Amino acid sequence: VAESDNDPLASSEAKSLAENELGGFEFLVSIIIWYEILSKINLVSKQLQSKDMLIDIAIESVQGLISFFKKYRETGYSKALEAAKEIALEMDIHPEFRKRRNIKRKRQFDEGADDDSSESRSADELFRIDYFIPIVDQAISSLTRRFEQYQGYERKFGFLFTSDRLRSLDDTSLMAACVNLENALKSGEQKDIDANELFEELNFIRNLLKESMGPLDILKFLKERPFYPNAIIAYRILLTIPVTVASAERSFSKLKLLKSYLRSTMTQERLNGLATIALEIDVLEKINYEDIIEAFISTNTRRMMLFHGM
Amino acid sequence: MSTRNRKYDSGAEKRKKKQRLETAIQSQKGALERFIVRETAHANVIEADTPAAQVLQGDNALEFDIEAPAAEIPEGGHDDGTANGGDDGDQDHDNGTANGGDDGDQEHDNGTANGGDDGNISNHINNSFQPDIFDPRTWNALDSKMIYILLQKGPKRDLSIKYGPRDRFGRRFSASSYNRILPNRETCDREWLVYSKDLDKVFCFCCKLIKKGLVRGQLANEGFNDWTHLGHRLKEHETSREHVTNMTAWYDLRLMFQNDQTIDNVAQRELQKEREHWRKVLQRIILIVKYLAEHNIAFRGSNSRLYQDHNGNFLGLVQMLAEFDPVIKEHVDRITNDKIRDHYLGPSIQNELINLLATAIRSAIIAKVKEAKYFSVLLDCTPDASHQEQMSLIIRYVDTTSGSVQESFLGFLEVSDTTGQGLFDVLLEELKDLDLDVDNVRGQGYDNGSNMKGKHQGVQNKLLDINPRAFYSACGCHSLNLTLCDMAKSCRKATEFFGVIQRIYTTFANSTKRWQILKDNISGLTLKSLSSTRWESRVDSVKAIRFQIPEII
Repeated sequence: VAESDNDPLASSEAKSLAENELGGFEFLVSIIIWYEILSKINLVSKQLQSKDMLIDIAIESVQGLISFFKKYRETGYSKALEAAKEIALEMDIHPEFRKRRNIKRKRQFDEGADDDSSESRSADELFRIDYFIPIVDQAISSLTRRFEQYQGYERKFGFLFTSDRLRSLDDTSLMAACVNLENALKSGEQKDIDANELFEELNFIRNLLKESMGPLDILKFLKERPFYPNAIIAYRILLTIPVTVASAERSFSKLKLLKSYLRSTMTQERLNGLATIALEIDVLEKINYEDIIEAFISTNTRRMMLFHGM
Repeated sequence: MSTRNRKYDSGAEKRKKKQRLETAIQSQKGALERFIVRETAHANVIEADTPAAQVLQGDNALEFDIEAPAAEIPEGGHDDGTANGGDDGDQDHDNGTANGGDDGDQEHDNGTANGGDDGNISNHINNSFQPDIFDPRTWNALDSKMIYILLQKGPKRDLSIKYGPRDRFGRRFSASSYNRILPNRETCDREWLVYSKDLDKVFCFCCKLIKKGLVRGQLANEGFNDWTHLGHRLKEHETSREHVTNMTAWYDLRLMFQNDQTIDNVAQRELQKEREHWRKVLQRIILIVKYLAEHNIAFRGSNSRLYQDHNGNFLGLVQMLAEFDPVIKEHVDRITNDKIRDHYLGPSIQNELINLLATAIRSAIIAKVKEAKYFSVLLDCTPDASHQEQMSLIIRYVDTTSGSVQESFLGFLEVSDTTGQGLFDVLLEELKDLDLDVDNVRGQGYDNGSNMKGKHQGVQNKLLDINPRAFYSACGCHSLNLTLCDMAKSCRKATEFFGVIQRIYTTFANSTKRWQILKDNISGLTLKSLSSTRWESRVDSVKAIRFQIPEII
C-alpha cells in the first residue's frame, strides 16, 4: 500500500502493518467479533440517549444486551470464524491461526505425560479461550455490575412498568409491591403515596388498561381519569427518574459552539442566556414577544419615554 | 365708494389686530372647543362636470327659483353691495342667533364697526364670538399651519342666515345657494361655498385657501357679491379645473385626518406612530437576537458601526433587513443621519435582550416544573474553552399538560471546586435561586465520576442525606461506555487490536498523500480515529475496516 512513500519509517511501518497485523487471520477474526459487539452496544447507547428515555425501556434494553452476550458467548465465535474465513479467502490469506511452535522441553523424569493437554488444543481453540471468552465474560459481568442499580429500581417500580405486568400480579404480590414503594418514597413523616390506596387504585386500573401499555401511556390514561391520585403520583415519580445525562452532554456540545476559541471571554450571564435560547428554542417559540418588549421597556425610564411617549 | 373702501379697509385692519389678540386670549383659555365646526350633514358630493340647469333649494324647504331673486334685484355694482336698506329686516333674526356672544366680544365689535351702517353692527355682533380662522377675512393672513387646521375642519356655515342684506339693486344672498341642484332634481351640498356676513360676499373655501399662484375669479380672491350673477358664476366655478383640483386636495387632506378631530389628536397620533415604530424596531432586534442565539452564531465583530467592515453578524443582519424592511430601514437611516442616539444595537442591549429572553424561557420552564412538582436533576461537568469548569444543570420532569417527559436545560454553573461538597453547594444554591424545593427532587442523574456518585463524599450521597427520596441513577450511556472499556482492557490481545486499528489510521492520516492513496483504493467509508472516551464511537472506526479490509491492503 504505502510502498510509494518516501519516508523509510512510514513505508516500513506500513509494510509491517500490512503483513503482520492486517494479514493475520487473528486480526480478521477479532475485527469481526468487535464489530458485532460494538454495533450492538452502539445501538443500545443511541437508544438510551434519546430525550424522553424511560427507565423501563432502559432496563429492558440493558437486559437484552446481557442476554445477547450470553448467547453470543456460545454461538458467536464459530460464526465469526466462518465470516473471517470468507474474507480471508478473498484476500488470499491462509485461514489458519498462526501456530506457535511448541517449545520442546526436556522432560524430567518425574513429570507425567498429562501436560500435553495444552499442546493438544488447536490454535483456534486457544484463541477462543484467551480472547473471545474473556471479552464476553467481562462484558456480562461488567454490565450486570454497572446496571445493578437498575435492578433496584425494578424491584421498587417494576410492577408499574407495563400494563401486562400489572395484570400478571396477584393481589398479595401487588400489595407487597405497593408497600415496598411506599417505603421507598418515605422520608421521615412525609410520604408521597399511601400503599393501601395505591393498591386499591391499581386494582381498579389494571382491569381497565389495554395490553402492552408503557408507563407514559398509562399516565396519559390516568390523566383523563383524575380519581386515581396515588397512581398518578407513582407514575410521575417513575417517569421522573433519569436514565442518562445525555441532555447534559448535549448542552456541552452547545457550550463548545458558543464558547469557542474566538469567543472565550464571554461572561457567564451571556453564555447562559445564549445556551438557554439555543437549547430551549421550543419554549421560546411559545412566548409572546410583547411581554419581552414590555419587560425591556420597563427597565429604564428613558425607554418608557420613548415607548410610551411621555 | 372710495371713502367707503378706505373706511372699510382701516376697519378691517383694526379688526384683524383685535382678532389676533382675541385668538391669543381665547386659546389661552383653552376655548378652542367653541370653534367646533357645525358641519352640515349633507352628502358632500361635488360633481364638477354636471352642467347647468340648477335650481337652488333652501335648507328649510324654502324653494327659490334662481331667477326669482335675480329678477328681484336690479343689476348693480358688486363692490357696494354691503348692507343697506334691507338689513333692518335681517337684524332681528341675526340678533336672535347671536348666541353666547359675550360682552367683551361685543365691545370689540362695536369698536371695529366704524363707519359701517347700523345694519352691519348686528352682523358683527353675530360673528363676533368667532373672530377666528373661520372668518374669510382672516384667511389671507393665515400661516400654513392654521390653513392646515382650517382645511381639516372645513368651512363654517351659519345656517341661521337665510338671506344676506339686500344690495342697492334689491338683490341679496340666499342660503339656497348652498345647494346645487342636479339635472335629476337631486340636491347636492356646495360645501365649499362660504358666505361672509361681515363682507356680504361669498367665497370658495378651497380655492381661496389652497390656491397656488395667481388664480382668477373673485370667489377665490376678494369675494363675490354680484348676487344677480351668482347662480351662473357658481356653476361656472364649480366646473372649473382649478376648483376641482383644489377640492380634491382638500378632501384628501380631510380624509387623512378623519379620525383626528382635535389638534391634540394629531400630536397624539404622531406619538402613537413613533411608539409603534420603536416597538417594531425592538421586535425585529429581538428576532435577530433569537435567530443568532438559536444558531449559535457570534454576534459581534471587531467593529461596532453600521456599514463598516467586520462589524459582526448582528449588525450585518440589521443591514440586510434594512434592505427589505421599511421599519428597520427607517431606523438605520435615523442612525446614519445622527438623528437619534438610542439605536438599541449596542452590545449591552444585546446582552439585556439575551438575558430577557433567557429569563422568559427559564421562568416558563420553572412554572412547568412547579406544576409537575416532582423533578430530577441531571448534572455534568466539563471544562470550557476558557478553562473554566462548567457544570450544566438539567431538570427532568413530567409535563403535566402534554403528559410527556421533558428534560430542560436551566443553565451552566461556574464551579471552581469540583469536589463533591463544592458541586453540591453550587447545586443547592442554584436550586434556591430558581425557587425549586429540594424536597421534590425524586431522582438524580450524574456521570460516573467519583465526585458525583461517590458513596461517601459524592454529590449523590449528600443529596440523599437531605432528601432520601432522591433516587440516584448513574448515566446508562456512561455505564455502557465503561463496560466496553472494561472489555477492551480485559485481555492483552484486545488492547493490541485497538492499537493496530489506531496505527492504521495514523499511517494514512499523517500525510495527505497517503490519504489520497487510501481514497483511491476505497470508496465509501473512510478510516476514523479512535476516541479515548467515547467507546461506542469506535464502532465507526471498526466498521470502516471491517467491510473494507481487502481494499485497504
